[in-house]
Amino acid sequence: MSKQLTFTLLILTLCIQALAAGNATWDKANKFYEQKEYDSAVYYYKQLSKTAPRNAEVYYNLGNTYYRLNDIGHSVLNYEKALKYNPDHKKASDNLYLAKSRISNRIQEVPVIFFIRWWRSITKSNLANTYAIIAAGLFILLIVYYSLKRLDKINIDLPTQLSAGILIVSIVFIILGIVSANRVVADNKAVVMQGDAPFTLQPGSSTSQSLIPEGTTVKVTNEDGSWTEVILPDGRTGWMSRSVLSKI
Amino acid sequence: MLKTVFLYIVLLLGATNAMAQDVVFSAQATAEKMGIEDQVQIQYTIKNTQDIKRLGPDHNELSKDFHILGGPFTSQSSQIYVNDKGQMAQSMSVSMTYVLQPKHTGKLTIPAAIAQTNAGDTYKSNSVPIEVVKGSIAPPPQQQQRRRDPFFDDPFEAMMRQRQRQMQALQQQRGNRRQQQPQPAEELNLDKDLFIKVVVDKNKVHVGEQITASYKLYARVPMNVNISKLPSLNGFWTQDFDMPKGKITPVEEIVNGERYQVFTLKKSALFPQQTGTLELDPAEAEGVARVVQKIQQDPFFQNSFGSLFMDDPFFNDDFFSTMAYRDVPVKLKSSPVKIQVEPLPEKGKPEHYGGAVGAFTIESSLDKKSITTDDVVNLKLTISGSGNIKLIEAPVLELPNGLTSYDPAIVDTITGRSTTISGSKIITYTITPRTPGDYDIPSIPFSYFNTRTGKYVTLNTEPAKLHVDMGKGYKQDAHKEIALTDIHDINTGVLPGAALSSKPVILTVGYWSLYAVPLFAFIGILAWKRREDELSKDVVSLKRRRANKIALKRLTTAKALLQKNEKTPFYEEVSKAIWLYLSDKLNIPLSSLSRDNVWDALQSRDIDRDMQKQVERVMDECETALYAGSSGAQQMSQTYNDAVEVISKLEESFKA
Repeated sequence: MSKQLTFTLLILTLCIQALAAGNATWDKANKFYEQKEYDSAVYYYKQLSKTAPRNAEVYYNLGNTYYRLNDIGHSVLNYEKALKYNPDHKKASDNLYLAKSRISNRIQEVPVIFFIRWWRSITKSNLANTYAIIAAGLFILLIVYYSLKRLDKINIDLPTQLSAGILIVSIVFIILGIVSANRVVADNKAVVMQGDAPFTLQPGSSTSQSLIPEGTTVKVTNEDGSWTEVILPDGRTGWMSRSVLSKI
Repeated sequence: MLKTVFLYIVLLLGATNAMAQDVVFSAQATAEKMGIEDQVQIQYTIKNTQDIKRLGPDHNELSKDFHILGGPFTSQSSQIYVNDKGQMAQSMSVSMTYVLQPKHTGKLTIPAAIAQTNAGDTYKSNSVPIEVVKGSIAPPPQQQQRRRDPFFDDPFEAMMRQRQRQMQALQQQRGNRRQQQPQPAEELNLDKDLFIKVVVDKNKVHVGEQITASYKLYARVPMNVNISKLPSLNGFWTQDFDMPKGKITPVEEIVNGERYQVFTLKKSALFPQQTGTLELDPAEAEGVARVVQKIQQDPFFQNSFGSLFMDDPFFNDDFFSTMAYRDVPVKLKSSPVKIQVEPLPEKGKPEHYGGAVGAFTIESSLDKKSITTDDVVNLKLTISGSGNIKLIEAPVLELPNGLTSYDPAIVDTITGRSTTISGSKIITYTITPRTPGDYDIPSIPFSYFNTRTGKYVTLNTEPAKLHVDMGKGYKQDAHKEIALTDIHDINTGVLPGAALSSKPVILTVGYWSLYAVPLFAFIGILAWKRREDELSKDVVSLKRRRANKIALKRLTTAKALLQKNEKTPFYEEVSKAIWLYLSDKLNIPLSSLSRDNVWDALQSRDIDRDMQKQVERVMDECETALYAGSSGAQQMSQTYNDAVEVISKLEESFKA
């Protein structure tokens, strides 16, 4: 009993220490940002993003810093990252909109069909854990019910259809959870980090179909050596050099 | 922008510091009697006066009796002499000469000339009577001169004759000279008589501060000059001052002791736009100057005239050496002017400073107070005053979220051009509302640099209120995004706890164990339960099988107790043996075991009544012995035998 308590306290202390260290760097970076020393701010935010690689807030602030440095490519990349881990980050999406509006010769996005939009909104990455917990909860409830029932400890009769329904809902939530979770770990999107990056129809081709402006977000569908197959915001598919892209 | 200024001026120039002396105005003719075919020269000379505005006879009166063959030729001379008080004095004279031929014979009068000074005084000369006869009486002038003995003649008269001849020679000479090329050596002499100067009021200014530059023509000779090139004013914003229209009146100015007529050709306000040393290029002018020339260099003159009075200092004087007139082409060029432009002081420079230098006021007005999202509203800023109006940057409008403005429309108006450039700058911002609501349009700060005090002055406009209603074309989402003008600020404070969040739980083993553990537990429960059920069935049969053995075991114990003759334990053991045997055999728990349910159970198993009675008798015997306590050894062995018999009989009947 006493050993367990000590162990719990130790874990808690470690967590708080890690949090405090993170916060010190965070405060330092924010201070540099407010003093308009953006280069230093970038350094500390980047350091922080290594220790907390899925924290939307860090990427959001880093995006702002790059925006102030007029580095639209990095700014877009970091706002996209912030939105990847927290799709409900309103400020990040506003700032991303603003950053993208500063791209010259921007490729206009084709609007997605409504059900894809719905599917995306119900499989938002930040919903993954919610789905997972609900699914597990329903499943455990069902198991507990049947266990008790078998042991003659309760005398409630659940209709078979209802328990089957609960099981199906649980499975659906597991699927949604997996899809959402995959959005967190997926690396199928990238940002063009170089102005006028050539876009070709064949990998290794020297004749560029068009020049893609810095800050454009593309979908990565295939990779072949130093070449990446991408889908542009307007739906065109082609190849770009891997060196001009940064994955979100 | 080459503005040409025409000047036609035939003016009498000069008249240096003449002393306060009596003005002498006289007319002299070269002859008192002449033939109608002869010519006569009349010279009007005025001495000791300044600033002559007008000089000469009335031409109408003159041409009534005479043809004007030549003139008027104007000349000026000055002489310095020692006056009777022993002071150096300067005498100035201006003369005007006409060559006349009479129109008819008789006693004629050459009319008097009138001189007017700038001071307003008017002088009148004498008139000269002359007798005109038929034919010609004048001998060829040179011959006449030759025949005269200069030493017997009145020297003055001789001189006058000489002069007459000289004038004619000059006229001839002038005609010849026109055909000849002008002598460059003589042109150089004009540098001091005619030049252009660019005058600036300041040589060291701040950026945006007004410099007044005047282009002035300095002249001591009659001329006709066009400005051919104005300086290019790179690095300046220029505004021309208003010049009096029509005739340009000269102003007198004394430069290095010389009196000049000064014509201001152009006056401009210059506002430097960059720092450093800026240079105003030279201004250039071309034209013709009428030059008064001394003839002393003329060989003919030296021989004929100079030889006469060579040794006499009086006659070597300007007046008597006298002049000729020539029109000389001139090219004038001013010397370049350098202006040092300093940057505005950094100290106290407001953040929003927009380059205004001078003295200004600002006013703002909103054309509407209440609009809908379909409308636009105009915010008009009027900056008025004097200074570099055109160079003022429009102040940045800081609008609350929900309102947007585009690049403002700017109109500059220059109204005053007298001594400073003044006017107004009207900046109109078109404001488009994005979302309905009540807005405060904040006051707009405007700063200018006051050159007089050397400090920045900041003015603020009045803040305004604007009410925006929802219009027909209002779309909530479409407008929201565009309303953003700058990025949202960073998030500060404590880093949210999401710092510790890593992988989504669904991708962790721990999560899936949430399914696995209950599932296995459930399966475990199912298996255990089944086995438990099976096991509980087995226990009944076992009990049944083992009931006889247990009973026999107890009975063996009872037999041992019988031999020891221990009454109470014996009966207890026998009683237990029977009861436990029945409990196991009939599967009735000990707790609920009673005689009644034993008989019921026995009946349901078709055990006959004799058996029942036998069992009951043994039970009674035991109970009687236990609670009554009186029984002998014989009875104990009887009970033992009965119990063994009952159990074995029951065993047999159960098996059957």
